Amino acid sequence: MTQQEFVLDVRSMKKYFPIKQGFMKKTVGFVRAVDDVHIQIRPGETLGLVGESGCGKTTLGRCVLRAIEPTSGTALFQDRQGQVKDVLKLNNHDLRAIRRDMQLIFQDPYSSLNPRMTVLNIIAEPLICNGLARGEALKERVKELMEMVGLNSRHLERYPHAFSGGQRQRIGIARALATNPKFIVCDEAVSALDVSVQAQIINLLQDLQEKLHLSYLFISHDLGVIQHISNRVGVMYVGKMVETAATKELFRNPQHPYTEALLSAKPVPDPRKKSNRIILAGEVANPANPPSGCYFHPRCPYAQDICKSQAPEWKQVGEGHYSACHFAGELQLQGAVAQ
Amino acid sequence: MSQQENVILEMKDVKVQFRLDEGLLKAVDGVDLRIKRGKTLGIVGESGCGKSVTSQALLRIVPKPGEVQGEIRLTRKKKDGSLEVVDLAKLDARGKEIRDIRGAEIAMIFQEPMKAFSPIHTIGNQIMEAILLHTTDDQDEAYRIGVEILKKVGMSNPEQRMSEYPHQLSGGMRQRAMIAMALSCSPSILIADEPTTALDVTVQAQVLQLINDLKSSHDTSVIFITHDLGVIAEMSDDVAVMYLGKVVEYTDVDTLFHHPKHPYTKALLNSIPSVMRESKRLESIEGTVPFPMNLPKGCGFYTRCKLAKDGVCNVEDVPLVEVTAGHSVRCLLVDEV
Repeated sequence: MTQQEFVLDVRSMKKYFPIKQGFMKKTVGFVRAVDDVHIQIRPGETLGLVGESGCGKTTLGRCVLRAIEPTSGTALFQDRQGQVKDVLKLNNHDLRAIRRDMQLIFQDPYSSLNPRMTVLNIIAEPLICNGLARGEALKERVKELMEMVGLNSRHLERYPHAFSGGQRQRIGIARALATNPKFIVCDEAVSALDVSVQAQIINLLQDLQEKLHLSYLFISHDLGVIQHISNRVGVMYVGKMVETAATKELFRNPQHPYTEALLSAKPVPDPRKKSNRIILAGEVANPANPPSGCYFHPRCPYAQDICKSQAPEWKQVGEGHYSACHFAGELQLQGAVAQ
Repeated sequence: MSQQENVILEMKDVKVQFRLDEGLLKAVDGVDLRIKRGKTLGIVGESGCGKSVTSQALLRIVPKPGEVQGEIRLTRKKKDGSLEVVDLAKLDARGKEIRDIRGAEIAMIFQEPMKAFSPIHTIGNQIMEAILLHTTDDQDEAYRIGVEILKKVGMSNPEQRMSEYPHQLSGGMRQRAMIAMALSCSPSILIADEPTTALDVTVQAQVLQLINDLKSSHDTSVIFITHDLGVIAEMSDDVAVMYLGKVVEYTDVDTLFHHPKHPYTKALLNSIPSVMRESKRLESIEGTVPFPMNLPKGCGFYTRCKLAKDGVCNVEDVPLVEVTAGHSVRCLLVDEV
């Protein structure tokens, strides 16, 4: 496959946070928040990123945008002129230019909007920063954006506190769309919302994707949401990608024991489907001091001796289906079967 | 009737109101519920529907200036073995009687174990406090019960955990300690207020299984409060769906998920993205939950309901009607739905 096929092609992304101790702030170790992760996103596609807290999914999302500086890796991004650039090598000036094409939607609609700014100012800020619009045109553009996300454009002069959680999330989405981006990282964008409102926002994100041909990196811990919105899914565990596949394939035919456990741990809203659930012992490993070999082996019901000593390779197990497990393809794992 | 004997707690027309400067806030507005012995009642609803305040009313720990009205009839065993019925709503919220019930008869698991534990006392001290209050006066005996209960909730090294502080435990372990504390006096009712919302799915699965195991081994009734319909399906025997301080549908869990009657329940079920269902588009409910102050007369769901009829739904308050045995719905159009 050629590079042009992807909006974003991330290779060997690493982010190690140093642990400093003592008076001299000597580095005594690293938290491997993101450890050698590859992701590819095609135009108009949603890549879902799922994992438990502390697995590095948010850090990965931010590294891709260079909101935090990754330790190493490449992130090839195709900008609006069709040029492929490595985001991680750009200087500040070029980074600013390319950031018009990549935006971020935050989890918490309460803390991600400045309470002292009006909706107009909030949504206009990226337009002003990038010098895209001024005066009357700016106001018109903000109004257009507000209607696009289903807000009343007469509420231009209101402050965030006057809006409900769902409406605030819409403001956050309008702000992200202001510069006409191609690629948006949605970091737990619906997790703080009630289910009925969550459904509205998911539908909105899907409509916008179709209309504006957006690509999403959709980060969530909720498998139901991930399955609904994603074309492909990546599962992360302690900073490593453990499996990626097309959504249907991943849910029906998981090839990593952690994916299987995640799928089975999710409570299903149907009392007739009391599952024969796999309950993992213990909790997520500490990324500052991960276990030897495969990070998942202390909790894995299928672990063998090789898992304790050797880290598994990232291998292909099917069409577009990759897994980091020594026994991928050999184990009979149960998926979540759709009705 | 044996049915009646099995009801351990009955709420009749319970209201919790907050008199604020801005007006009267009806957080809970006439709730009738029954909790059966050894069964789990799930209460589900979106934020602000009054599900947490309902559980606080049971323990009479509603924050000021909240007032509890109505009847909350708890059936409890006296020391000589005979049964007596206490109306919790009539008790003094700071009196001795309710304090004897809190922790001993009705215990609670809170959502955020980090906030519910005192950070400056050891886990052991906090568990022993409840035991010393209700079960025994002997320190050594209390310590022994504490270790026992920690072992029962699956904590490794219970003796060591007794002398540890909450911050030394992980989220899942803290929630286990919380459950241990709640169960230390063998309560007959356990209220679990969003006990797994702050936990990861794999840990949530562990905690849910633990609560289910303990429920059957202790013959405890559980009131399980959550916004997650998946968890409700997993845990409950009966379910009450709440909206704006009112129960809008009340039935057994199977009927709720397979034959829901209230438009709100239906919409809620259709709006969850589910692993089991593959659909292109989610059905969403328009608008948001109104603020529960100075509400107009009529059905609370009127403004968001797809089937709402002007002149029918917005005239009088809608009563909760039993449509079939054990299935109550608060909707005037229930026959047409």
